[in-house]
Amino acid sequence: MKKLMLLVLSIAALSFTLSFAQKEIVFGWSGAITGPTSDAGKYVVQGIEDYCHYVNDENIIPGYVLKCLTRDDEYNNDNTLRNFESYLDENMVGFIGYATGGSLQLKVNTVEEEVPFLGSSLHVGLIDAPDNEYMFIPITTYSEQVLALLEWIAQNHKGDTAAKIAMFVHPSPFGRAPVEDAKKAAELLGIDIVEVQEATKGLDYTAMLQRWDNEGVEYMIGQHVQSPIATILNSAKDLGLLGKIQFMGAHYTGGTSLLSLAGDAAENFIWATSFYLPDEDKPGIELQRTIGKRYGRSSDAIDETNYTSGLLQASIFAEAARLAAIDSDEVSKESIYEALLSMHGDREFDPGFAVGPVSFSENDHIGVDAIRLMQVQAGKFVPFTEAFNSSTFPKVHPIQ
Amino acid sequence: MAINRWIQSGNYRRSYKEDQTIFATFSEQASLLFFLVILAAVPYMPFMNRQLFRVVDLAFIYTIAVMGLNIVTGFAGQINIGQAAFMGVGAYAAVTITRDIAIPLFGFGRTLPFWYIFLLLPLSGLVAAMVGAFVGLPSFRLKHLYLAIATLAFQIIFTWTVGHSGFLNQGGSIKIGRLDFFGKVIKGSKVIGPFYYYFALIILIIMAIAMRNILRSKYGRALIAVRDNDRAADAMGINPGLTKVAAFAISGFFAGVAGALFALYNGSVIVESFSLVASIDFLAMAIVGGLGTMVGSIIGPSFMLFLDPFVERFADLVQGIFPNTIDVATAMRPTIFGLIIVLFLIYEPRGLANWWRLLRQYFWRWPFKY
Repeated sequence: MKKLMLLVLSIAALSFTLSFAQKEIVFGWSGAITGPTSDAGKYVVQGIEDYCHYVNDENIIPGYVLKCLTRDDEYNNDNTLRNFESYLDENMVGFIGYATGGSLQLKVNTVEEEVPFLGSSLHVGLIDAPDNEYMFIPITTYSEQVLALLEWIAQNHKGDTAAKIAMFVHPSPFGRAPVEDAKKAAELLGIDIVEVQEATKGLDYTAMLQRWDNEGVEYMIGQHVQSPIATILNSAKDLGLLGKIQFMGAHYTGGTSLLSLAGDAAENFIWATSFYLPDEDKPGIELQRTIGKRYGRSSDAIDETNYTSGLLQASIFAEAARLAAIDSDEVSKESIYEALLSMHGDREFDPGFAVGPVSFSENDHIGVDAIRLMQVQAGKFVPFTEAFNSSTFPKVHPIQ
Repeated sequence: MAINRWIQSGNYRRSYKEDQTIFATFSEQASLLFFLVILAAVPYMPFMNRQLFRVVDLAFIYTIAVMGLNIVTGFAGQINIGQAAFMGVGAYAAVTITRDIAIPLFGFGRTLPFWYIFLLLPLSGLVAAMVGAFVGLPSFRLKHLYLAIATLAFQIIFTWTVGHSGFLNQGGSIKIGRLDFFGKVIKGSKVIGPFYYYFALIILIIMAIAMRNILRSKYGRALIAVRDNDRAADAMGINPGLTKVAAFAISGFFAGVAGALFALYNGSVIVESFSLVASIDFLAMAIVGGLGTMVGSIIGPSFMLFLDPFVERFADLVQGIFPNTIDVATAMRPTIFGLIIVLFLIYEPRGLANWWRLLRQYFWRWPFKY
């Protein structure tokens, strides 16, 4: 009889405990931990995982525990779609993407599954109609970054003729994303994009640079990743073109890898991004260092902007989950979506990782709207502008 | 005495007419029917989740493309390194025909009626077949590696053209509407997975029957004759050039149908899905499955696609145990897949299809040893 009583009591205690157990909020991430671009993806995923642990350890969403599922897709769209669907089986309420191709292809799926999407790709097409309802971009798009550089050129170009610019882009939707907007903006600004060169697999850009030199190119804007930009800078140094052509680039062209790969050839390179730098004295960057150290990350990871990017993406979804937990009884994909749309005005979110607060609304799916320009000086990126918004972007690319 | 077609353990075909039959024995027919019944029941199995549906659905779609590749490479002996591009032609044909012709002409809304797919799939296949015939023209003059380079050039031209064409959204995503299946819109992975399981399977069966019939016809034997010795084939009255071009066209048709199905399945098309890497994957599927066999076209894609998640998990595991070995993990997938292809080429050039043949023969002759 005693044993039976004990059993009944145990079951009752277990049920009681379970009824008060923390509920899970599941976010899924799919990106390149291995394969192409894994040099960036491996840090993004670390940032996402660490921020999720941090939210749980600090009990930032009382009564809930974040479960961040991360899976390698080897930069393969089929794998991204497969991971997305497999997370749906695990009750995912928000998805974090990575590659541009996979993200563009997921637009239809996010609408059909009604799952909010956030990701590392900053392609403006993600938030263009149709099927843009559930797509969110954490910081300024590639288009805005390139346009900000063009505006800087238009304001600072000295010379009697219009500034001559060459663009160097990745041969993919990622690389081509800002090209059309840049051409329209150049027309508005009275400057001249003389060539759009798609990257080849070459390890030497001497011929391309000599051609640009012959054409009188004065500025190069890169929309690629860090390693080929470093190769270009090294080739330009060998040809003595570093003072003649001003090299610049959008978000993924800059960072610590560029500095180490290009060495002193990176000097004076101008970079447009919305993130604070890992060596800046800002509260968000201080938090980045704390989180990185707490979860045993290497100094290489902690000093990476891609790690900051991962932290920002996870923090946006975590904040949306926190707001959803306040607003509704249940944190679901619907309440997360509503929370994201309500993230403006006094609900703006500023985790301190980027130069402005994250704000979304029905008509605004870009989180951080401001950009800073930075230049390499004495082997370090140094900001030389305040945070600003591109004035030409709304004119050349009105978001519907 | 007539041979009992249920228990015969070898090839007892005695006439040309008998040699033309698709099935040698009744047990073959019965086992195929049994296999199809099992396939039809699979979606009801409790282990089938969204991820597995995606793997199986893609395996069915890729099988159609690999069957086409097997016709041109396995049976006609012409190396083709551009099958993904042919599939891309079919996919882009499907989205552009729908966007620019069908929607204005028929006034479709956000969804496409089910009957339209029976127009779209053959049309997309025909477009890819025409492109295939055009790309196959160099086979009049080129052979072996030189022809392979010509198909490689087509793969690169395709990627470049799509990437630079505003009409095709510069390779970015182009949407295609979801199907309306008698009042039910096929959208959302929970519905898409099982629907395309059956639909792709039916299309696959139709294409497999078509392939089998092509191969047992005069034309099929001409393909094999050209592959084995084109001069001898010429002496026998076969036009080797036209045969090769036709093989490219048929291969393109299969790839085009697969591409259109792929576009409808995903709801959008993006150029990255039809890259050179995808073409090489198709070639690997055909080699591992078994070049020059129809069964190989079916086993190869399934084997490679089911292997992929396991390799992925293994790479995750290695990286989890040794976090500083990111390069090893990165290299794991290409290394394992490359190794499999090399091992098959060395030790089993007839591919998995030969294992399947040996397995069947074991049961045919049981209890006698093979």
